[in-house]
Amino acid sequence: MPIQGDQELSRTTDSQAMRKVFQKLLRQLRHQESEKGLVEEKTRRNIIQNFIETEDF
Amino acid sequence: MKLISIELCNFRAFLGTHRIEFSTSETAPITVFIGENGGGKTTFLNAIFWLFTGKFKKDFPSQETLIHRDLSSDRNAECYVEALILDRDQTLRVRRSVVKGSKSELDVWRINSETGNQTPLMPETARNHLESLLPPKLANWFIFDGEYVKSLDLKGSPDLKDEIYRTFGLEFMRTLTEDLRKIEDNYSREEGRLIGDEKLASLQAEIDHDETLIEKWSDLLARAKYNHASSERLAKSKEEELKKYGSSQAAAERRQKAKRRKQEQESLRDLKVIDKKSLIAESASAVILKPFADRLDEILDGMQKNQKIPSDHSETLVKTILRGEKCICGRPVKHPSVEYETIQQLLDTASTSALDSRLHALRSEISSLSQVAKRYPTDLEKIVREINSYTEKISEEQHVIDQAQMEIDSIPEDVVSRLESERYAAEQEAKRYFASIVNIERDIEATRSTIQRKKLEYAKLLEQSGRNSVLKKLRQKAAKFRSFVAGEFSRQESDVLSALSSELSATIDRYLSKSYSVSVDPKNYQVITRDIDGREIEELSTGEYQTLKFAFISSIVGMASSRTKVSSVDWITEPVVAPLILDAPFSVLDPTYKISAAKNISEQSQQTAMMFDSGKWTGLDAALGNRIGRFYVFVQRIKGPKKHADLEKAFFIHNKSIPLVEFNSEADMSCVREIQANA
Repeated sequence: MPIQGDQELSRTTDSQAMRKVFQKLLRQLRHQESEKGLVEEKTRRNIIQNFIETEDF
Repeated sequence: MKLISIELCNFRAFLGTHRIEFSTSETAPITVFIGENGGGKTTFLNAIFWLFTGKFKKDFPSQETLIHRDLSSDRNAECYVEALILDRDQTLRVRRSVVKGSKSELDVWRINSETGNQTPLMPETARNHLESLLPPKLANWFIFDGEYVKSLDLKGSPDLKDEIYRTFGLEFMRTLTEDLRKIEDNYSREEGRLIGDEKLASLQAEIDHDETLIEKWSDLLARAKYNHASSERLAKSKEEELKKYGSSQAAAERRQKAKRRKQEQESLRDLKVIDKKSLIAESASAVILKPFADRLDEILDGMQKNQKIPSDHSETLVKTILRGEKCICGRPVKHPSVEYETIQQLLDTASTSALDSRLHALRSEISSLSQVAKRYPTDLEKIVREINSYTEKISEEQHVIDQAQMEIDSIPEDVVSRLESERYAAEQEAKRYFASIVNIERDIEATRSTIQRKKLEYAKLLEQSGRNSVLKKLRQKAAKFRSFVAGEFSRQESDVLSALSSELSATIDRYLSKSYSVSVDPKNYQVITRDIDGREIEELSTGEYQTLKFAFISSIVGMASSRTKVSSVDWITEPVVAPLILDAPFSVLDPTYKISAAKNISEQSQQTAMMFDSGKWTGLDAALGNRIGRFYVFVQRIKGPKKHADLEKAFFIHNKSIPLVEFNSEADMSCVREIQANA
């Protein structure tokens, strides 16, 4: 059974990993915007859904 | 994002091409512009605003043609505003132009930093790229004049919350959370479809519908709360205004009472006037006759003294004749005879006692006449005094009546009636909004419970029906990501609000002499000021409120560009960082705060352009000092010779006089001239 410090560390590591995932999605969306113009709601959701299905987290 | 330069061509007063380089230095990021009215400051501000948004500021006469009027006969005349923009590691050329009779066009080129080659962006991409640098709805936060500061509402406006969300990248996270929730729902729906359970699909549709309702109601609720607070504030302010005019009802009551008292006094005075008339009537004969009566009295006194009035002796003599039946001359006087009758009559007339009695009565009349005449002046004086006293009281009451009337007259009935009706309308408005708030909150609460119940039911059904393991995994992934984004959203928002509160308190502390603390209410983003004892200050003075607004803008700009002194935010999404372009920004500020506001705002922004009237520059030179990187004056060039001596305006700096108006130009126009920033 992990001690409390380990739990904290695990949470922080997980949070940092998720932060990287978030930044990656953010970059993808920003790139899409700057390359192809305004992203419609439906397209944006497709990009996010695709991201969830392909990214490992 | 920083502005490297702006080029104006034929834009309104700027005939021909005018290029302005901005200071991009880290240590001296301020570019100053000085100009008189009509010199081109507002046009310049609007040129930059138009370049970024395609629109103009509220008071700019945008209906007029944008192309300089001297080119009105040229069919192919064109005007444009072009900027070189530095965005992180890339340089962009942005140009908005208008050819006569056509709509404006936006062009954006990417400039390769090594080769200098320029690549044009597709029109839609160009617009979008520009909007990502400075969203049009945020342009007012970075490009503004004093009037915008005046109109800024820090009392919980939903628009303010939206704008802060956009400025600090929170909007992106909010949208992403919502997108993830919908993606989760899609997975659930698909799971439901795969197991062929129609009930699941219909349950999900119901949940979707309910959630859409909550979204709609939440927006309505925020607006109803804001409108409720605004209506209450309005009603209160009308009440305060009404207090200034006093109450016409109180004055009317005072007037009525005084009128009643005056009438009583008038009745009493009228009675006395009647008394006076009676006294005069009664005493007039005595007063008139008194001298004659006095004279008669004297005469009678004299006659008595000289025995000219019959005495007792005469009466005794006649009686002796009658008793002895013989006259003193010896002739007999018998009864009955003519002589006897004659003497008998004489006896009657010669009766001294009867005469005395008549004289006595006469003198008594004279005496009473004298007394009446003697009393008359005193009695008259007394009555006159009483009448005067009543008259005085009547006059006093009349004064009270006049005063009350003046008070009533001084109250502008139309204004008071308008204020009363406005107050009433605002109170009714507030009541209506309050009722809406209660209803919406109740609906939201009830619907949330329903959603919760339906979701539990859905999960239970799903569990019972068996599941698609891949879809479940994806749904859980989406849920995990959503939970992370929602958590980060709350953290960043909380960081932002806490940093904003600290910044505002510190800035206000620097500006004002009072020890106020400032916080931002997370519920509606209302800015709340408290005194040293922690009591909320409901109404700041106008000067303090304008100062607070400046502190608010400075803090937001400073936080976004990470230039704040007392706090920082761990950004997961990037805030908007843009140059500040300000036209006469401190015109709404009390001169006492102008210097510190200017200093503070210039320190918080990574790049600032400020425009001032030459007369408003006093003191700012020393305050901004070596943070000024570039310095320009707008020069108004006038066609033809000088007509008025007062047109000869100039700006004095570093012991030099720089003319702000020039004559004998080929055309009426504005131009920009750079001067040395520091002596």
